[in-house]
Amino acid sequence: MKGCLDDDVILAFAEGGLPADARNAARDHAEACEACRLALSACVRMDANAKGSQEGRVLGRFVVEREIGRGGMGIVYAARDANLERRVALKLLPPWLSGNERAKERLLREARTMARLVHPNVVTVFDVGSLDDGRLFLAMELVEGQNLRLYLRTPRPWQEIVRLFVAAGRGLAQAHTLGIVHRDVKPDNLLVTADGRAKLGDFGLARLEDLEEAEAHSLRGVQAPASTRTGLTGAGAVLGTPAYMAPEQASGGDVDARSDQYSFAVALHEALHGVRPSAEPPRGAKAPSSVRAILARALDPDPTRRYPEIAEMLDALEAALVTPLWKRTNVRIAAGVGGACALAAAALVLSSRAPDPSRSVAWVAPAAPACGPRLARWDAAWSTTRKRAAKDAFDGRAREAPWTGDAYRRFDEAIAAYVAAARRAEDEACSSPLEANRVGVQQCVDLLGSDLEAIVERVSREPTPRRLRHAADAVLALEPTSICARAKPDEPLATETASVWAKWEQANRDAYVATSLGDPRSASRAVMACKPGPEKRKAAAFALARTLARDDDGTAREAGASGLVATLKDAGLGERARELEDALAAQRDLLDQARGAATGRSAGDMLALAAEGGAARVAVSPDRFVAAIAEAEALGLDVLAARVRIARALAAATPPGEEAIEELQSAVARVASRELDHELDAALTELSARRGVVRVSPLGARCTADAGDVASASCALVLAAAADAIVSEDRARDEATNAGSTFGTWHPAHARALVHQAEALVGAGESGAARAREALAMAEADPTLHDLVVRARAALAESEGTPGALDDLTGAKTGDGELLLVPALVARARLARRAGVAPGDAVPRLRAALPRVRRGVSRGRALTEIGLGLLARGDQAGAARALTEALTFAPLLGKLHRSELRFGAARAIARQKRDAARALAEEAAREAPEAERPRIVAWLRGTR
Amino acid sequence: MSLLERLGSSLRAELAADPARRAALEAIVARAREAWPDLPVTEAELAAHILSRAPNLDANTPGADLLLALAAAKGSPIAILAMEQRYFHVVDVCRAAVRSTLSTGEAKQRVRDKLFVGPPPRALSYSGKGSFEGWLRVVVTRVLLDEAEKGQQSETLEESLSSIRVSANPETALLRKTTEKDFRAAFHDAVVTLEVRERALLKYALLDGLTVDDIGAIYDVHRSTAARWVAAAARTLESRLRDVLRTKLGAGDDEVERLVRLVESKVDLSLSRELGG
Repeated sequence: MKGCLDDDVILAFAEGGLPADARNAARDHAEACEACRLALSACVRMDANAKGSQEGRVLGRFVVEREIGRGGMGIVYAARDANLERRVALKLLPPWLSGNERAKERLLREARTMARLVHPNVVTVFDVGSLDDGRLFLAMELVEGQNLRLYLRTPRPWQEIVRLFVAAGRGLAQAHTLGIVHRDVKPDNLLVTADGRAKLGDFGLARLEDLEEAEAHSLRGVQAPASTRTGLTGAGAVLGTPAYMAPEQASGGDVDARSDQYSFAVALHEALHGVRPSAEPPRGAKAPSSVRAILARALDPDPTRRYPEIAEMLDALEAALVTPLWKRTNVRIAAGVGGACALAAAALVLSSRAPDPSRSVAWVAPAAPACGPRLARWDAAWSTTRKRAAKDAFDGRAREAPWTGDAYRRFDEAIAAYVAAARRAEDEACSSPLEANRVGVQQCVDLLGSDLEAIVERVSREPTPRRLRHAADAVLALEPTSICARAKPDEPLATETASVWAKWEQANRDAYVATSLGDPRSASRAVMACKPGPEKRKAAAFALARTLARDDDGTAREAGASGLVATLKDAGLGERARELEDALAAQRDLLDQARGAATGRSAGDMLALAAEGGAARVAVSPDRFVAAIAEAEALGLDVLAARVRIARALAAATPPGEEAIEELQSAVARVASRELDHELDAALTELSARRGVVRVSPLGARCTADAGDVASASCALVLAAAADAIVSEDRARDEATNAGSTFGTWHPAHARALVHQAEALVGAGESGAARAREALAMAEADPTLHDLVVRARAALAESEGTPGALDDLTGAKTGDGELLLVPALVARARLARRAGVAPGDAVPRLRAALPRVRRGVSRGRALTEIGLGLLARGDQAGAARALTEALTFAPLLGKLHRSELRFGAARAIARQKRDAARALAEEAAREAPEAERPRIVAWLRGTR
Repeated sequence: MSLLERLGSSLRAELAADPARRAALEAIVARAREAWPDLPVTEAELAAHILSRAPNLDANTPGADLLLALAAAKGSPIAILAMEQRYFHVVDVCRAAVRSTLSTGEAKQRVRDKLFVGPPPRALSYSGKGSFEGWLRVVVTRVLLDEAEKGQQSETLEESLSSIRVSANPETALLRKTTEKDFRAAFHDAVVTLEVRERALLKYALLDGLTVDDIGAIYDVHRSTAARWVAAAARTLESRLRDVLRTKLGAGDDEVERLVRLVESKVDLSLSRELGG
């Protein structure tokens, strides 16, 4: 195509870096050339500009850290001024300002004035100038905090709001004395710092917009609209109500300091009442009448009837604070959050509500208070009061649980160690010259701190024996503060998101698990209730991710995905729906291509894929999953449940990798410490099913690490909790020692380990009686350990060959308790079989309980007894079915039990599959005890 | 052996004379290497490539992307895969933008051919003057447009604009049964009377789906100005359409107004949507 624009030219044009005449030429060409116009459109589309990709970019003497906002007046970056070694908010003004000499001149003039304005309540302008490519920049103080709109999402007493406004107003008054009119006072331009100070920003820029608008027509040679028609495209309606403008400003009249006063009053009115002033008085006035009277005067349409100076208005407001005419109560004001989404969607909405990207004041960085208060926070986390409350909670249970003294000591030690580590991390962060680093670490540590506090809180408030017992484990299972060492600061939004999630989840954990987020339909409804726009988009993505992460099986997941596709379409997000569909399709291709390739998508992408495409498909790449989860956690999302499920999906992939198993173990440790029993159960089942098959065991090695070490503690916890997972005799022998030294012998983990050990000995054909008795002595004293009692007694009976010893246990037949009795029933059935007597009701009861028996070892053993029972009755087919299934659990069983199972299976299938049967029997003979072997050998001879 | 020694003689001479330039090049090469340690491109090759494509060697020279592009153009499977994983989402974006009839897979294959096969492989021409992703957008758009032209004679500009405007509205669809041809013709006649810029503005806003921020960026004006321009162009189109309908179709006032209102509402919707309601 001759004369067409070069690719480089189009790119440079779109990125704003072409000299003016080349720009004009390119623009004219694109207007007439379809191909170039489309290429330019593709390149210029704003949403395409990947945020964050600017990191490290050098702009003159500034090094960009990240983009923190963009809008009609340009892009704002958090940047470092390399010359002065300080962080600034760097605003790059849009190209039209650079190309317009008069605008440029005016900006420079205004900026000089602005630079004279130094006031604690005004965002300082450091510098203004132009970059090499001609673009104008404004370097400003980087304010650490949030804008007023965000700040007011938390309800605040009216006094606090008025105080903030008075402070900001003082800055404005100072500007007025210098002859500077702000022209754009609104909540988005009012910032609240981390330590609660108000700062007003964006002085004078509004004026440049005016200038541009006034000049644009003459400069561009395109006719202005013939008239301001009413309707959607009438200028006023299209551009939105100039909500904060004084009437004289909106109508293009003279603007002065009193116009600022009016805007200031609109913003204050909105902050106090949640709505902007209108003809009707606000319902249920929340501020005293004195304040309302002040507002009424400042809001007078006639400037001459307002306060002559804003300072007078501020004095009046301060007076109202001191002597309120209205009774002073702590009226909470919920500002600005109302009504967008239904309650069910509240968390989604809050977490996804972004400040209006086009208008918000963008140089707001996350809070980073000084070191002192931060360290004090850690003292408070384990203060004397808290300690006493916790101690009381433990002591309160001392009568029923004699071990609480030890448990408290452990709890105290664990917290003290954690707090010490956290303080060290804070100390290091505080002395870091890199502010970004400091902020990131502090945010990260903060999240961990709130986790710790939540544990202390829960233990103190509801000291159930189970909770007390695992209190220290919960602390040990917290992420170590060392993970914060390289944390980067979150977007302010992410921090907010995290805390919203945290609060919401704390209050609604049960509802959360049971209802909306686990259920695609509720999630869809929640999304539908959101206002259209980016908010909805994000809510949809969240709902999607959560829903998919919670689904149990692939079908549900697929259904969830297609349901969401439909929802997205309904919601008018057809493009997003197509993206999702395409992503699903593309992912299949991608995985084919990517298998074995070293390079990968970013963790974030993978998380999105995981969520959007369903875990199963990506399961071939565990490391990426793990990374994705880590990223999600860094964002403060609670991914615990998702993590367990994903880990399960990973472990279920064939062949499961070591990483998958490790991930699963670590998930188990976390789940165990957080008492999510339903998840724990599922994870344990998976773990026990996989463990025997893959014989992966970094675990054993890790558990021998120093006692008290966090890794080994959570590892030992896994061992202790993952009852049936650990079956090798050797490991079981180590286990009790491990658990004892890690937890103290009072800890149920020790009893549990003893039981495992006893069971392992029985399974190997040795006596586990001594250990079973020891465990029994501990477990019988604690009613919450009934399952251990049953198992210890079963092991004892099997060791001693006394089936009658279990009669009192198995005699009591209860609905729910039946599952617990399975080990006893198995023992009874086996002992009766070995003694050649009728097993009584043990086998039928096992068959009835079987559907609910999910633990690998238990299921394997129950199936063995059921199968052998059927075989004894001559039901070969039934026996073959049961025993074949039992064989899948063979690796989990001890060699004695395994040998019995294999020989039984061999006899059951001998007629159909003689060779397989013989192979089984040979294996059985190898592992069988001396006394049994001749019988098997004889059978083998007989089937030759 | 230093990087300098491994370069060809002319480059060597050039760099030897300018130590600052040499240091800058070495820094860029080192950074690129760090980003992609395993790609089968020697440092000398990379240095030569950077010098030929991006001779400015400033602090923003995207060495990593230049290296990736070079390796991909040389056929390294890892580089190609990495590039696809990082950047090929662009293909779908552009596919939607140019309303390509190719499937995702087909489109990606075409882009692969152009970028990595050529000859010459287009990836070699990336000059690092802007972001790689931005550059890729331009290339992909061009590739997709070329394909579209190969396939069939593309509609005239006016047709594409008018068909979008007409067919996207269900109410017009009802009216169209009787007057589709005439209406299209009228629309076409109205569109061609517009100024080039007015037409371009409408296409940017309505066909390409640019926001007023984007359009403002193209024309270097504030978004409110861009919005006003687009609205003005739409009004002009509307009034021309009114004239044409009246004179050519002899439509009655009621019918004209009804048809025009449809057009109007479409424009308004587009504008209000992108202005955030």
